[in-house]
Amino acid sequence: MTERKAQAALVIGGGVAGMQAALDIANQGFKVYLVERTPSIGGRMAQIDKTFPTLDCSACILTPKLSEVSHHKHINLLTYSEVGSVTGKSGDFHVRIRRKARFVKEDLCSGCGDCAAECPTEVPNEFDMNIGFRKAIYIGFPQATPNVYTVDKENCINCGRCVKACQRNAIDMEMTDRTLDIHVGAIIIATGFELFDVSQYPRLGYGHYPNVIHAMEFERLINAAGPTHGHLVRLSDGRKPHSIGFVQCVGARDVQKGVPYCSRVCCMYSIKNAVMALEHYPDAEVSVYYADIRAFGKGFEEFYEMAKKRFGVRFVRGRVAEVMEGKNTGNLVVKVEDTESSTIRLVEHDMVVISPGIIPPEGMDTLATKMGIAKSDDGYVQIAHSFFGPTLTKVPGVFVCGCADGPKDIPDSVSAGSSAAMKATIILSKGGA
Amino acid sequence: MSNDGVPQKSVVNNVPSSDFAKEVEKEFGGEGIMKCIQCGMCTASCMVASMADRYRPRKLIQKILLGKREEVLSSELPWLCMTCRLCEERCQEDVNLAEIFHAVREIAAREGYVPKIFQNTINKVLEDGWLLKDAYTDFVEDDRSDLGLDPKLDWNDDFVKKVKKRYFNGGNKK
Amino acid sequence: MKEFVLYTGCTTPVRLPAYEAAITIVLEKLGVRLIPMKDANCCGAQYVESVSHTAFAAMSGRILAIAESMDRDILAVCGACSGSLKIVKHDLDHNPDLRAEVNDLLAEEGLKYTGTVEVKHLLQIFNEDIGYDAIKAAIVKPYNGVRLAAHYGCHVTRPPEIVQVDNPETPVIIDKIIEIAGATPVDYTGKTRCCGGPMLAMDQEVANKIGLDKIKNIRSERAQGIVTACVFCDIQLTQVQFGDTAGSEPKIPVLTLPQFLGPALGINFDKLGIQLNKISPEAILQVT
Repeated sequence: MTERKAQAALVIGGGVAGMQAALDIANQGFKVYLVERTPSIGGRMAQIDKTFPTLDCSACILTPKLSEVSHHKHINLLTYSEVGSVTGKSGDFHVRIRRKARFVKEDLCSGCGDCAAECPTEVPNEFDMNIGFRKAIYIGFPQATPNVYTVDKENCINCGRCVKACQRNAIDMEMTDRTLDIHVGAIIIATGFELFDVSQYPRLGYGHYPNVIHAMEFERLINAAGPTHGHLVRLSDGRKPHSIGFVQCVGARDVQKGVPYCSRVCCMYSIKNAVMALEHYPDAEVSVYYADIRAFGKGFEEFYEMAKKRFGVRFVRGRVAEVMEGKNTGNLVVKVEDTESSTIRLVEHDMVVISPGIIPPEGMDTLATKMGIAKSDDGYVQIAHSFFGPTLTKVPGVFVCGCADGPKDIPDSVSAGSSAAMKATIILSKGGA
Repeated sequence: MSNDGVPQKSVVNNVPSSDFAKEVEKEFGGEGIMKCIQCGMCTASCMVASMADRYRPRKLIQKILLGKREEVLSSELPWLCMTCRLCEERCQEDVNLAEIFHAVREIAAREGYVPKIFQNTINKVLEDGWLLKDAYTDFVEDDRSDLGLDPKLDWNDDFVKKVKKRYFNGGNKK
Repeated sequence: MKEFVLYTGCTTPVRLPAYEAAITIVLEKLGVRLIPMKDANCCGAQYVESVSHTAFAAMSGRILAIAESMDRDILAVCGACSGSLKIVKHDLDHNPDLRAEVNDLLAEEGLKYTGTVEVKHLLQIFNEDIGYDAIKAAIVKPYNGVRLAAHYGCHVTRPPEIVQVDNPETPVIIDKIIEIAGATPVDYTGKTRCCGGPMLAMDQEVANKIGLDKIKNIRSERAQGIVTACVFCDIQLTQVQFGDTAGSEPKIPVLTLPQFLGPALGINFDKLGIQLNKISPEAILQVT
């Protein structure tokens, strides 16, 4: 009797790379379990306002994918879930998934929002980088998929008002975590990234001076669905900034902070942010302080030139040493050497945006141990071979895509997703062998 | 280019060479110099640079990397570093500038380039065993007694003579 | 009673004897006895250090060896000395050839460096050996919230891997002691910048500019006094306020950490040498 191998795949991570991988596998007729630890798929792309170098609206190009994934007959979408244990081998993995209780029944909730309207508890909204607020029963963003509410039990005061308000009786405060055991032939890791914690640079004032923010906070401020409805304002007084400075290479290319590698995306996302700042306020003065401008991809150099010539972004070659604050104004002074003229400058800005490097997400260590996969020195999933196996790990049957193995932009993440999907389906199409 | 087709005599400012940088690299403390990417973090942090236009630590490192040996060794610039190490704290490539400038000073001293004030102070300390013998006046002695401190300062001046003999060739650096 | 051998360095005994007296009496009150080092020599900081690494190692090495012969750890109260001794200790510990060379020179006096003594700066004694709880318990006359700016000193806190005194970017020890004693620690721009002292040799004008920049930043936070942990910094931050370019603003008193802590512990001003401070801190030292 032939060994029964698995005909399904598991994708861990519902960001753009994971979703692409899931769709490519599913479109070939195979079953896919897509596990995502937050309540909704979409990942970082859902938080971004515009993408580089095209200045596409990120949500506009992402949401069709969210829809496709959620409606696909071969994709079993398991959000608010985590991978418990993994045993077995290529073609024959047994995985235990922990489905966290959202206290809302997915099949009954219609996403109407009556519950949230009644909820008396407000907490900082992680999706908006803690700038705005959400309720204790919440949905991450308007296009969250599945469009189902989740109860944040830690902050819920158990008043029961949401339960009363829900006309579909979808809220169940007694819900418990469940486990689901699945049998898959291939696993794809698409766990994405986190931002380096820039409060580790006290000299830059993040966390002390309200008008020093980081790039993802900037992204939420300029986004129309964000906490300020797309108005780029200073967090100290709500006024619009007239002069913005972008600080590069923070939490990237820093041997002393344990992140010696280049984060690949920050130069481009900062140029994009600088351009967006000028789109919002054409009269503003915008400066980018850098060591190198890495505009390596298709359309990147042209985008950089456009930022300089058409928009008038000032690029200053010099890493920022200190950001100081003016007491009464909340304005900031950047201390930098303009290396092209050897002049030390003290430049006043009313907003400073730090561009953090990206790092492996929290929990990567645990996942790597569970899966038996190797990590490279910088904490990312180690790939088998940079030329011939950029989406292969050293464990047969386990693949990786997106930022899980290293910083990448959206097009590269999507490519990697398709590549990993192909590798996975080779196994599945051979009957799991 | 002149009209009659005869090429002008060109003036060569510097022929780049990594020899000097390699020399500094081999010296104790100079190991990290090749890691510099000239980003300017050091200079932006440096208080000497903020207050003295002639001093730019980044440029000094650049001169070493470009091989301007004679210029660097005979200049006062390597001696202007205060060794406050703010640059070292912040350098993202982990270049230890104060250490490198110390290594440069040591090479310079070997070739006879030591600023007068440094040389005088060195001579004094190698003579007296400590720096402020001449400043120890009766007034200070009285202050010490009033505070209940021993007015006799017990400094040893033998050891420095041995140090002088072994490492300084009786005054000049060996 | 914990004992340390006190290494004063060249400057303290002559230029700031009040610091020496204040440290001795304050630490005694907090359970640490200091034994002065006899027959010492200059640690070689700055000058010899610049021209010969080996000679520098020999000079500081001798200090380390003397402490070893006294079987006591060293307390260094000058930032430059503290930095030098720690750096040389590190070099001797990791470099057998250098150690052999230095020991060869020391052998003539019967001294030897084997690495058994630790070097501590004053701030480490407060933080590690005495502890904040003991300091708090010893406060008998707390301050009344007077605003004070702490100045740590570059050689005290950097390079952190070697000196291991405090977090160099956000140091806290002096600020904590200020707070425990009932005063208000004040943050200011450029808190971890240099006082400019080391620049006096090569360019006094630049040194003054650097020092005055610090004073300016401290003044803009309305600090009423400056608390220091290095003799050189203390002298420099005082004397820049007397220069031609100092301006006409009222001078900000500068005092060393033990001179600040002493009154709160009930110690008389004259035992702490307060009367010798060039800018009198008496106004801010009013304790309850």
